[in-house]
Amino acid sequence: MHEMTVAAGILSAALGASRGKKIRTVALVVGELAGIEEECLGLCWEAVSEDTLCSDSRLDIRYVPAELVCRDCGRKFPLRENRMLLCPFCGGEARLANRADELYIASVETYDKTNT
Amino acid sequence: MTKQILKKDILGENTLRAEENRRMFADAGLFVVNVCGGPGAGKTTLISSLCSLLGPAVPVGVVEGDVALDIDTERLRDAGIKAVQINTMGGCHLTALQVCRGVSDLGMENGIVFIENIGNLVCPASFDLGEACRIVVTGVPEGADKPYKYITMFRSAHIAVLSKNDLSGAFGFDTEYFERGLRAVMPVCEWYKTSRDAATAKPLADRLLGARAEWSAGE
Ligand SMILES: Nc1nc2c(ncn2[C@@H]2O[C@H](COP(=O)(O)OP(=O)(O)OP(=O)(O)O)[C@@H](O)[C@H]2O)c(=O)[nH]1
Ligand SMILES: [Mg+2]
Ligand SMILES: [Zn+2]
Repeated sequence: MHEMTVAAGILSAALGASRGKKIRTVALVVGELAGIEEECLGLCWEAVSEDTLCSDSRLDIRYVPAELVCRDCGRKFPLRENRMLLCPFCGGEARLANRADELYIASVETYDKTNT
Repeated sequence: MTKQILKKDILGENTLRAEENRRMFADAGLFVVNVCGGPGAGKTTLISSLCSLLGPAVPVGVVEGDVALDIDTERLRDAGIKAVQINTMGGCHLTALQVCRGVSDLGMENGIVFIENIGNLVCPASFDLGEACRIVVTGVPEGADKPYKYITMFRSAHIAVLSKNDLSGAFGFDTEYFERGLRAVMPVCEWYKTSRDAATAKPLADRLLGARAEWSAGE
């Protein structure tokens, strides 16, 4: 629900790295548990980047899935489609195995010409 | 085309501010508790109970976050509790900067400050306020599946509270299912049950006193 805040944060970081050149792609890393809805972020990005060096740029999102680990057999499996938080192999209780709350800009790609 | 590697935390500004808050709270001897939960989960009721239990022994104050209005702040003041209001004007979570101002406005030292976050089980999870302890409150009427659906919030909390236990008969609350969810997502599963009667929050009040003592020893 705070995708607008996130989009504004991306914009200021990307503009800071732009050195006056137009931005082509902003690569993000977003964890499954970061609370960000991709489609909503895309719409917010279009809105905040309008008339800036980021207009018409693309958000390239790498998604980090959340994983569970079984307390009984130790096997790992994705959280998705496992909403009862039980092990699909032995029925044991699972717990979260990674944070999956990443939310950062990995890189920014600019066009070479200035201000085009 | 030129590619620049950045690795920049998008909410980094808030995180930096939260670290400053943590130092400021430590210097002032304030043990700060961030109380999160959905709308109407019982946050104000719990804070009010805890303040009445802790108040005689320790100075207590409340920073009340709401999208609009100061109804909860008035409720607390009517109960003799020191409280200041923050309105986010539609914002879905409190930020570290807002909380810095709110705690300063309280003008307290050496005590416990409760921050009531915006009623929302999603966004407040991602915003560190510089608190020493985070509590998530969910009520019996909301259902036992909340830890399964709001993983990020429950995982980020030190303590979970199940409120409105006086209603558990009417709602057929599945405690075992609820607790299994907490065990799966909380790093250390610790939770308390409360009801309308303030005395039901006594075990949690004692726990907070213990946590505060540990915290002051660690500073
Ligand atoms: N029966 C019962 N009612 C409760 C309990 N805790 C809170 N309530 C009632 O639930 C309603 C909401 O409680 P609040 O404490 O205002 O909840 P809140 O989380 O602060 O609500 P917002 O600030 O609006 O998000 C009020 O009518 C309370 O009286 C409880 O333990 N038992
Ligand atoms: Mg309230
Ligand atoms: Zn297993």
